[in-house]
Amino acid sequence: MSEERAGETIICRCRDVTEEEIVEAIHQGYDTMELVKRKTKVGTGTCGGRTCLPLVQRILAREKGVNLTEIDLPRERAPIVPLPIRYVAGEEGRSSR
Amino acid sequence: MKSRDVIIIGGGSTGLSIAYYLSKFGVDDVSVLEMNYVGSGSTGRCGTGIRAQFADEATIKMMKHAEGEWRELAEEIGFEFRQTGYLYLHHTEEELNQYRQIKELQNSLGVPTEILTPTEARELCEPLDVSKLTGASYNPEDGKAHPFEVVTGFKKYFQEGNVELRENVKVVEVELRKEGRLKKVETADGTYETEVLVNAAGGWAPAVGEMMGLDLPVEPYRHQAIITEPFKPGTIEPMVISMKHESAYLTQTERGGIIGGVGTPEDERPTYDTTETLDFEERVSRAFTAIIPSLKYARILRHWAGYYATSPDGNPLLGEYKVPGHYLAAGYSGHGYMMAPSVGEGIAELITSGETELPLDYYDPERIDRGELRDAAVQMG
Repeated sequence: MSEERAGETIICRCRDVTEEEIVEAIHQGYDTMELVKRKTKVGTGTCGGRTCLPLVQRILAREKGVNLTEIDLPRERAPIVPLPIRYVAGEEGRSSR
Repeated sequence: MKSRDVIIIGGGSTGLSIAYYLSKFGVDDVSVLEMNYVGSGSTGRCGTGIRAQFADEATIKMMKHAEGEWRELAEEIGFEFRQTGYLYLHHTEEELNQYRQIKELQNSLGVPTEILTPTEARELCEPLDVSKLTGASYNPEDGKAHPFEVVTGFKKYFQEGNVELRENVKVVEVELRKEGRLKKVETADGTYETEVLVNAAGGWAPAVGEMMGLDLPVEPYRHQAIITEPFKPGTIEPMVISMKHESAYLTQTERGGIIGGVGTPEDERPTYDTTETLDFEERVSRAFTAIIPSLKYARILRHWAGYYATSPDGNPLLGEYKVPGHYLAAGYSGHGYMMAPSVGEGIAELITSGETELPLDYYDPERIDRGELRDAAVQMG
């Protein structure tokens, strides 16, 4: 990607996080997946990071000059897809058991 | 080998606060050793709430003081302390009367808690179902702050001062002198000589204690929480508490998600396991929909767990303990984050002058050895 385009590229569609913001965070010292996620909120939207985290992984590897395999993905959290509370709560109208 | 006046183990809200106040009091050589990154333990997984609505004098005083410090810290180190209040929902006359008495105690110590009617409670949080309430307690000075902003704020502050903050450094050994005083702290990357060591390792405090041959009365309990997709900010401003619904707590973050949880089940055993459970998801979903019915349409985005590092009486263990120069600041049983500024100031005063006006005596760890258990502080949010 050309230098001029950096910053216009949305990496996380759910949270509107751009490549420039991610690169800036990495250079501020938020240089692991876990830290980039906490700092920029990348990967914390409704898709759960499915689209963006592999991209962030590549950006991290590139910025740190390391192999892709050296960048760990953050721990996956339940639920796998956004889960409506009413499905988990059981029948409607049922309150605390 | 480096020599330091004070070594603090643990870079969570407690350890960072203690380092902050030590530097304020003129202690130059302070190192904070964090085995992962700042806030990676219980601080970064907590429910974000800060409250002075407790039921015993010592904790109310600690928390009243802490809220004042939170306000000043927010300005000085740069994060937001949003004083949107804690709203306790009451469902029976008995509960309401009990909280009227607690309110009197809180008021007498300068905490401006009010008793609200169900309608008044609803004015503070429109989506609440108030049809089954007898009333509510509300302290407008309570609030919330984003843990990651707090710990990174401290980190930035320390970059300009004397405090050395090291992340990804694991302490492997603590060596004592023959007469029992501290000698050195060995890490996976370098050794420090010190006469003062603070154990602020949260759920891992027992492991640090073991290095000094101490069996600390702290056990980690898994405590889970969830966050939903974001909604219009300002929808749920206060931290809403309902003891009736499994001690549920919930509020909205500055980014709009609804964050919260329910109390730890009574049959839960101590564990370092932080796996999320479906059982918790069910319990929290039932509680949330009973408190705010429209939440049934909200979707859970993430679910995680941290530790309530718990002491035998549910109150913190604060002060010098057994090894001269060893200060324990752990065992909060779920309210360490909110108390951090008072603990920081109090422990820093004990280290520098041997005394403090804060009621740290109440939390003297030796009370456990003497069999003097305190009443458990109310443990949620």
